[in-house]
Amino acid sequence: MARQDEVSLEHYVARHGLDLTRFAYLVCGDRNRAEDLVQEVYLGMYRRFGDRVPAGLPKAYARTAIVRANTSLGRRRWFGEKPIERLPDTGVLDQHPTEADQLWQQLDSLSHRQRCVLVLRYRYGYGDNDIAEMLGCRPASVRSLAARALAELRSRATADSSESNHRTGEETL
Amino acid sequence: MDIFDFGTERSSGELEQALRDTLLRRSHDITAAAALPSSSERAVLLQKAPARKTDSAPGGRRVTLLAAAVVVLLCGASAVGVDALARRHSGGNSVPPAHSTVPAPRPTATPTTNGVASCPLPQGWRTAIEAGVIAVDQPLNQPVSAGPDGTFLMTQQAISGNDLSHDELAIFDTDGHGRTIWQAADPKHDYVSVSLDSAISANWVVYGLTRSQNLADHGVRAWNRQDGSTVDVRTLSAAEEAANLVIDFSPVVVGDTAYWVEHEFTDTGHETLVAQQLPSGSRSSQPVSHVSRLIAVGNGLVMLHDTQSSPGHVGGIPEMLTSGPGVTVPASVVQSGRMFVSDGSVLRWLSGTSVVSWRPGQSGITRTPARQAQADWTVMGPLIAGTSEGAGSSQVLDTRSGRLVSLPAGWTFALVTGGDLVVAIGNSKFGASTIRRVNVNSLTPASC
Repeated sequence: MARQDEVSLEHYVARHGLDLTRFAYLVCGDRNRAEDLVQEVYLGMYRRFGDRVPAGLPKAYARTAIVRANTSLGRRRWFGEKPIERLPDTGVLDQHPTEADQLWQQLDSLSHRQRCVLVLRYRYGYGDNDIAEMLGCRPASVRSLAARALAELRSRATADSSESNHRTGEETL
Repeated sequence: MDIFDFGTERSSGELEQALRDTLLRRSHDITAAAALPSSSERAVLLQKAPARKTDSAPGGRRVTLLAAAVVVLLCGASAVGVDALARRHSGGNSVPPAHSTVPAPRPTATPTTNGVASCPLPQGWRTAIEAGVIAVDQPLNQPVSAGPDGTFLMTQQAISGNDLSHDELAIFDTDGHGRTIWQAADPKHDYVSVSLDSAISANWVVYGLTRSQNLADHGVRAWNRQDGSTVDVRTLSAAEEAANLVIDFSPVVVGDTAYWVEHEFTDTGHETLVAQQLPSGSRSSQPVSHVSRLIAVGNGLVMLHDTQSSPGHVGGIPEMLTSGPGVTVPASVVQSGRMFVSDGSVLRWLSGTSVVSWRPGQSGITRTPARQAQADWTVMGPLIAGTSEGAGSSQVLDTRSGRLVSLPAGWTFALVTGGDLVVAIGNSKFGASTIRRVNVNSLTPASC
């Protein structure tokens, strides 16, 4: 008989799955990898709790697991899973991406941890201590990671802006 | 004063707000949650890194065919996958794939979607690779580690019914003969972790034992290549595990000494590098911090540090090369790079648009242009392999000619050992159905 302070894993997934998948996507920047990460975490939860998980299991637990799985997924050499077929991309490449799109692309230039810090801080509002706990580092490191990440984004934005101005100048010649 | 004002045009407040807006907006790119694997899928997926060598199939052909069918069903493999599996199980001397008998079209460079022109797989390469059969009797195989002497480690997996039934780690010699090193007692929860390039010495194979939850090792084992015995080098006690001590990433071996790093899970600033004389000699240790990988090269070790990330090798992330026991890295060589790999005597890595190589004792480095290589590609002798964004399959940069080669779907250049390239063909999520081996020098530089 199920305990009242537990819910099924399916229930947990139904309740938090979309948010967790979005979180993983922001953390890693890739849809397919995000799905892999989330499923990896589901499996980890299944290993630990079985079919039923504590009813009060916070999303932060799964988010932390996603952050660490993102690191671990790269740590293990995953020869087996290679794309053998590419689905048609229905999107159209914007020849003049908006500033927001540029910022999204520039996030790819950051290290995994830098990106995590920005996502956790600016999308989910975590404090430095919480982020440090999730990343397994000191709060001072979180502040350093954030500062470096923002500096990197700022420098790239400046470079892109200069390049754009240069191109514009060429087009008007 | 804003602490993030770096003196550029946009104020930090604007940048932070733009970040909030961008992240919120892009989060809605995802409109559906990742699916929870079904119960039966969970049973299968819980098996992590696979393992198995096979001189003879204990379950026989019937079981492996059934296993192959299950894999196909569970993984939703394509008809190509079914064909590949069927071919592999048609016998030790498997029938060459039909496409190998079809005259190849005249190779021409074609631009991929990422804008880099690539050649199709040269027919000579295909012929040479497909001739280098490595006999396996399990449907799922992953080459995971290269030795300095032409041996390599492969994890292999068997499935019976709906469950993973058998996981092993095996060493394959230069003659293609395989020997089992480790077999999972609890395939659903235990697996091995193996260094990409530093797990094998003349007398030993060293590997880590990993449990599912935190993906860190809880034990180090050494397998004696001479007599086939296994040594329990290190096993965390229950108290140590309760105290969150972990053996991080894969142990390595230099000669008759095993090395690994221990630390409290969240404290990567205070780590311990442990050296153990095999099989049960003296043990020594020294404090280290933020070590992301150990690599055996020459007669010692170098250490890689990732000051921005937690321990473990993260593909494409810059790591800092530093000296380790037995190897002094000159100041002129100490530098950041990506995807470091050793063939036992030479260390290679990606740096900018070059492949850098260095061997212990050299005062400087050698650079080879590799402009088309992506940051997370793997250096394999003169080849660099990986997957480009926008490319439909794996790609290989041949640094001898500077040409990029697109591999057929399902092909992966897995590793180079002793000058031989090991190729995995028929990849699924869990492993490849077919393994081939070919001397790299027999592959003429790619051109098209």
